[in-house]
Amino acid sequence: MKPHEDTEKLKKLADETSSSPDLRGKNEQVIARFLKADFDPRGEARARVLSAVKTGGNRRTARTGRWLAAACASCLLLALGVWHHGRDGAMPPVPPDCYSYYNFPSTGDDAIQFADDTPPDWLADYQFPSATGGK
Amino acid sequence: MDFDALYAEYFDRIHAYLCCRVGEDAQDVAAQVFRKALAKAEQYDSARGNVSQWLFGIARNEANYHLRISLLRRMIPLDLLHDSIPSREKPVCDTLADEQEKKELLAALETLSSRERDIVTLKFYSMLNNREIAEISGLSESNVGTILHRAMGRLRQALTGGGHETA
Repeated sequence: MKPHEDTEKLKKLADETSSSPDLRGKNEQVIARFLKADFDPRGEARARVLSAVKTGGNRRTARTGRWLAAACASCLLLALGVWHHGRDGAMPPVPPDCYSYYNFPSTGDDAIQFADDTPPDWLADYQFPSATGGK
Repeated sequence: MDFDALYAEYFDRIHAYLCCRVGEDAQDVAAQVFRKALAKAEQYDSARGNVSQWLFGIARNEANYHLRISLLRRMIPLDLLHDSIPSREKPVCDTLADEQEKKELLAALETLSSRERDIVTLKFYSMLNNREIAEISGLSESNVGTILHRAMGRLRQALTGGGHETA
């Protein structure tokens, strides 16, 4: 029996979904359109589904299993990525106080010494040109 | 329970409900519903509800499960899974006689939330009353009535271009 064959059911549905008599007619129109829509006009779906049920193949379970396996594999790859990134991001093997503010040379003589290991010799005579051209 | 009689009586309604819920995968899900019904026929207890309630309960659970898996499928678009859907299968809703009618109905359903679509299509195709739908869906009877009322307003707006109720 097709759903739209039962007009009594249509009227009952319209009654149950209408809170006022004004809307009953419009609701009946809406419901009738849904009930008249034949989703399997040639009966192909009916035959195909019955065949699938009788043969007993559980395709969805197999598909779901594959999806779950893929999801697990994705999670595993993500976890490996996070773990590997954590290892790469570890601190270099240097004494930790090298990064402390007070130990870090800034602009003083010790900074120059730290940078190129050249002794500060700013007061040497040859670095101070005299009025006679440095001689 | 005679499975062939059950199938003959309920297939169209279950299939229509699933077309509205899951679209092109309705045949797959319908097959799963009737497989479960066949396998668990001896577990059916008439004291807990009528056959329609039992069968649409299975259909609703299967549709919800399918929608959750589909969401996961969209989040993980892996090529290795493409062969799981045979290309010979055409979208089931394309077999509707009136293409324009199909588009309008499905577009109207798109204006509803997932819960509204579930409840309103259950109402249309299961022929259950609000109390029985409440038992299937786990909602209260008054909540089902409210959802139906709101959903019908949106469907009227989408399909007849008006009909908003004045409170």
